[in-house]
Amino acid sequence: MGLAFAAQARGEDTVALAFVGDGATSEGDFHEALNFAAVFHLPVIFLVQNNQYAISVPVSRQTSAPSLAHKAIGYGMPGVLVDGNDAAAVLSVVGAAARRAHDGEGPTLIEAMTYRIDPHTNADDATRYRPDEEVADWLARDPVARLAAYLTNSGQLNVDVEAAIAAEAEELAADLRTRLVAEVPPPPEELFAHVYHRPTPRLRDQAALLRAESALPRAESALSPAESGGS
Amino acid sequence: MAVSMAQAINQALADCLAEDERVLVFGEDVGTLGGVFRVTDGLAAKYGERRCFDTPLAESGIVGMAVGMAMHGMRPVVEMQFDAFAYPAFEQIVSHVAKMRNRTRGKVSLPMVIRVPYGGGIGGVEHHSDSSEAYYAHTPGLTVVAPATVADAYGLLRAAVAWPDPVIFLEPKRLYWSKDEVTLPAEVEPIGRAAIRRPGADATLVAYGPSVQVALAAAEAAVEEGWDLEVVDVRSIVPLDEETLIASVRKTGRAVVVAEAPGFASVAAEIAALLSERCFHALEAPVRRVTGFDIPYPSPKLEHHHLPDVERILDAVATLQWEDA
Repeated sequence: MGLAFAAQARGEDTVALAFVGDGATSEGDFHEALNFAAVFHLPVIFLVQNNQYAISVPVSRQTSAPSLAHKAIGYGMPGVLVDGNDAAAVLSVVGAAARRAHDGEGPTLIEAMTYRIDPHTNADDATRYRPDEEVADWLARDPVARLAAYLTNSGQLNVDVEAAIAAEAEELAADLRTRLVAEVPPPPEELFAHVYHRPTPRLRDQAALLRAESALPRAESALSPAESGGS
Repeated sequence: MAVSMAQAINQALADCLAEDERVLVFGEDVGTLGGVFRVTDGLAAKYGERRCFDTPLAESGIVGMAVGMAMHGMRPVVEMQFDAFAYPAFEQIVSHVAKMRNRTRGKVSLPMVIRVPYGGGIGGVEHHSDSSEAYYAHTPGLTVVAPATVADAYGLLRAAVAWPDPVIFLEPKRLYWSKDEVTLPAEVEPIGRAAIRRPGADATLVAYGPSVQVALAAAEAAVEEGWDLEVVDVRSIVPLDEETLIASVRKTGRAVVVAEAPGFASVAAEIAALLSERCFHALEAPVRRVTGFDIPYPSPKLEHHHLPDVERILDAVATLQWEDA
């Protein structure tokens, strides 16, 4: 919203696209941002990715409104509900909102309905709060498969191209995994970088302390206070 | 029986819910899921969704609702999920929770507990590892408590729910799975009293929350160096048990304050100032602090450099002018 204001003030032809989860629409800051964007007629698109759960809490516990898109009404901007697993529909809706913003007609709120197939994190157990059948139902609506079907049926995709895309994606993912596993820890001096435009005297002292420590051999047990367990 | 800190807190909440109908437990993911750390596991099922429930994702709303509830006779116990998740609620906490008693000249009090899983050491990223105690301790009107043991997690939480003022209850999240031999229900511990975890004669290590275990490990390691260190667990940051801290340091003549939070303008700084002022004539050396660096909480691969550890504590102890003793 601030970025859109700045772009407008600088005379740029820029539209800001802000992504929000369904849970975040309950935070006060979300509402303040929508109100500001509408009051200042800013070129912003608020795109809510409604994946049905904020960790374990379903959308029904986030809002009593008929949809999250309805929240636009109170701020005086259009609210659009779209099937988020339909890439063509999302492109169309976001494109229309971008044209509105570009034409000086202000912000748009878009709610894209989708689903979080996996748990929230690798520490989350989604079976505690949603049935497997629900996940299976949404798996059948895989947006990638739907886009592939659409492109194939309209003659824009064949099996060879699809296989090549899949292979390229797998290669990209494999490369990312390899590099993540092989990633060397950043040097300890990184701790003190980018805190201020230049380190304060205190930070320079602390960096010196760490350098002095790192030059000395350290006891193994001293490195893991977290593993010392209970009292 | 070996009990984890998470189980002890769960039991304290369950006992509060069972004994007092005014107690309500709510926050993000505390109901159906039982909390992201499973601290509220089973409470919604046992005590019903009217007593333990999920809220919309809005920390300011959670605390704001607790304010109204406490004003009207309930005893809300809310969870902030992670330390830095509490920051959106800061306006409510600082402007209303902390000040209502004073603003109304004592007519309206807000007995409530804000549980904050806090601190690092779990490989968490930004927003998940802050030691945020100084913000609260700096705000007059808030009681600030940080247990370091399984028994205290139970006993201090029970005391916090019974306390007539709002309590910020800081749960060291890296100790959630630490276990002690404890029989529940444990004793209800008085708020405002520190505990000597290890008696010693040569120097005092002052710590609270997750740093107590590190201080105890340092005291054990110091035996090899010939130092007999006393470890004081602050337990209650506000009100601070000045008497116990001062008595310990007057006895030993040396002190190192240990805490994870950045050291500048910190609780550790306040304790060091107190000890310098009140123990001056008994001190053999300047009071030292071993704290986190003055940086945003770092990435998991670097956090072990940031957190106070045994070596860093022993390095500080070594500077306490032993040659002049």
